[in-house]
Amino acid sequence: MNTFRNLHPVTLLLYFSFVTVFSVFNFNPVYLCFSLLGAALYFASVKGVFVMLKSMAGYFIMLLAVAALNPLFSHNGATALFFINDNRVTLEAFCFGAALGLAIASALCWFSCIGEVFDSEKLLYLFGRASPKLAAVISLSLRLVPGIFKSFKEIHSAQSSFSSNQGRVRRFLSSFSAVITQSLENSIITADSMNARGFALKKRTRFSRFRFTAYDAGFSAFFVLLGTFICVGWFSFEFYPVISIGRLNALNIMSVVLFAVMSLTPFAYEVKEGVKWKISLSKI
Amino acid sequence: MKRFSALVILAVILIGGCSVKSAEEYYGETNAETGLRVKISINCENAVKYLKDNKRVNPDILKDCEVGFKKGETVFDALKTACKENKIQFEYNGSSESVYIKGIDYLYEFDCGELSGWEYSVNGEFPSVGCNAVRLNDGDEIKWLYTCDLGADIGNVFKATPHN
Repeated sequence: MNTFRNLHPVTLLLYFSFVTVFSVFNFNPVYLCFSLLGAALYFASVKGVFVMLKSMAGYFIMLLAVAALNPLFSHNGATALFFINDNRVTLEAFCFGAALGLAIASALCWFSCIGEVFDSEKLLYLFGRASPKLAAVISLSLRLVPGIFKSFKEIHSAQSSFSSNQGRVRRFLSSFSAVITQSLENSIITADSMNARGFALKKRTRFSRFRFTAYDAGFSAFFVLLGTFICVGWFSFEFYPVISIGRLNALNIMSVVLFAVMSLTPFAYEVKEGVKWKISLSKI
Repeated sequence: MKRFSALVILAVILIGGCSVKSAEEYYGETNAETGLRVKISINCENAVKYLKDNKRVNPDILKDCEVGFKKGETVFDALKTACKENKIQFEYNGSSESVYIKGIDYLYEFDCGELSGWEYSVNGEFPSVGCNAVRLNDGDEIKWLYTCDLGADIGNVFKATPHN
């Protein structure tokens, strides 16, 4: 089955850099709602609805926390709810906090989608040509932390089963020191292994399965076009001193609609391919 | 359990150290009349010139307002009273040691470039201390002025004092 992640890595990189930039550098809740919706739906189609809802619950708690904390640090805004030590606590600051939380939640959600989409092969393909060292470092460090956790779990369970008379802290410390020793050993082995596979050689060719087809080119052009028109019609959302949107024109509305199209593209792609798969199943 | 009770005590201290008032309560308060008065004005002429937008056209946020004060009160208290009586928004940072005014009437520091912010003068002099360190005298004239150039545009050129 063909899925969104099977698009060419360059196209995917283009798409995800667009949506994450639009989600991170932006406090306009109109855009952010669509961004979060698109990210959540795509995440659900990749990892399942239950996993998505679980992470959404976490994001929601974070959103509430940011919304509750922002008014305590920012006292700008015309609607005073109450006063703490002569500083006003305002509705506008609360709303800005909520928008900030929304921005963080949608960015996190897009980043977990990115984690699902970009495996080390794609990363090596994307950054390997520009800087093989950088690509090696990225893929090594991506593997490092989960690897350390895994070996810690193994060592700790072994330690726990043969030395039950040790205290918890002592047991933890001895497992920890064993993990450190092992990872030092591993780093030497990794270096040897990299040398043996010709890492330091000047002339080296690489094989990758990715081919930039007309299909990928079409999608890339589509994303660039969408991004341009979204930027052209971008409108600002003012929180201070009163919440206000400037007068909206057709360009602004088009920008929001196109942004919704852009954020929902991966999910729509998955749905389309799913339907196609169902239809093409043999009915014998 | 120990940790929980420590948290509760911390929360009680934090909340107990704050005075929380509703908006009506806050704006309904009046100072007891003592006969002592100061003149206070808040002016953002420089910001109006700098921003050049239609949202901020009036340079006088507060023009020649007289407020009463109690003996021992400071410039900060006068600003608080004036803002309370005229329902002007303001935000400050800091505590009893040193208070810094970040913004008045939604006009904040750095809104007009990185050298902008609020400064104050008492009878034409610019004290280089926090506004809660200057005691009020009867008949003082306090001016809160917005600068876009670290004080140079309001007659208070900043001179760095060399360290010995």
